[in-house]
Amino acid sequence: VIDSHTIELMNLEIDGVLDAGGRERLRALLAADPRAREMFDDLRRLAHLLDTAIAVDPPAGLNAQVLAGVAGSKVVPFAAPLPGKRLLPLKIAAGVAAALVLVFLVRPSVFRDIHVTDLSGTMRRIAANGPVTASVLPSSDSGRTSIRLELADPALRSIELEFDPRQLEMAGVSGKRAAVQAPRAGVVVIEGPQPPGLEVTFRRTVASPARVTIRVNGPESRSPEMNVLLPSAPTK
Amino acid sequence: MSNREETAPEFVPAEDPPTFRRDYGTSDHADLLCVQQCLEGRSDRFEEIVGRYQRPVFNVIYHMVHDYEDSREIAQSVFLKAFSNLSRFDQARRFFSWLCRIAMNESINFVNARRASEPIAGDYASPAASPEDEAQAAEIRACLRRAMRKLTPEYRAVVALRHFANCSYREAAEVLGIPEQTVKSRLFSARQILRDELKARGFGGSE
Repeated sequence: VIDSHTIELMNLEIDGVLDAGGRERLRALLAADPRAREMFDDLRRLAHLLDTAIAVDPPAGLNAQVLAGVAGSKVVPFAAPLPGKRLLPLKIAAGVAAALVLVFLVRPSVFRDIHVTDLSGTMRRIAANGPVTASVLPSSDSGRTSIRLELADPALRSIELEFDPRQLEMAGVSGKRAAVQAPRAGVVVIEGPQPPGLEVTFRRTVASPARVTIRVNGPESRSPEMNVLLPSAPTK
Repeated sequence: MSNREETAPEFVPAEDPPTFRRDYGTSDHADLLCVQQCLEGRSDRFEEIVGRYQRPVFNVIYHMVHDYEDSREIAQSVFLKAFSNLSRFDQARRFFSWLCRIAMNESINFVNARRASEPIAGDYASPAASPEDEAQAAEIRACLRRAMRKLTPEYRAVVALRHFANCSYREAAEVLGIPEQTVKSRLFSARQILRDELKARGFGGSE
């Protein structure tokens, strides 16, 4: 009986991975045991046959068949993204975020229209997506209405308020600013407004709702208009 | 075992033992380049992969299933599966091992399905043979193929990977998902079985 260690040495030698020391041991073992020698020769011939004699050639058309199948394949190998392509959605999201940040930086304030339902006469913070927040202040005086403009950005150049002079009259502006101008009827421009903000008070000449359009001019651009619809004046 | 077909030289340890991997023109770098180009949409680059590996892959399959036409279909399926799953290939690993794993899985699945339903198909008749010189060679080939069929799929798999795909122990272990030591154990046992089978059929070396 040939021991398993010798058989392992034989197989390792056949596979070409036996080290020099192992080969010396195998050489000695084979020299000492004719049966081991016979087994080794058998195994080596067997391996040689396996390597060479029973290998078959692939069909001549296999390559073409595979490629035809590839061409007709509905599954594209790049359907799943590559590691680099997996980042594409993130890159797009980052780009959008950067663009939004840029918009906010370039445009000091962005407003949205305010509907009458937003203004019940009690204090209501008007959501604005910029450094200027507008709110209508409740007033005990049915003839006056104040709009508070809270400023977060000291770099604002001016705030322009436009209204129908048949409905509203400018009553006053409180807060730090450089100047208040009235270039024409129904238009007031407040230069150099400073945080924390201003209160602009209007005197109402009619009881019906009145619209005030607010524009904020930043150092580089003008914000979109914000329309504030003042509710009907309460009856006394 | 007889030396009627092949005469192996006497054992003289070489100063430079043969390396495990014989030359199939394999190149990990070239493989990865082809894979990446395919993933970028250049499916024509898959031709290089098919050309490089169709022989070892086909032989692995053939010596697992022992039917030429079935092997053709399975080989085609293997390459198409590889193509359509290229994006799942872990590029940190060897492409050939991954391809062999697909081939082995397909072959084992086929063998298992056939074992339950159909008899094993006949031998593949090699197309190129000189009748006089090939008579005994064909006899010993047929005997060896029959002996191969008697091996369990587990033993056949390691023999196929080692001798027809030239996988190292480690590569075979990776393909089969078993420890390297198990590969050695199965391979050495399989060789012993094949040797005994050939001797029992009159192809012993001492005769």
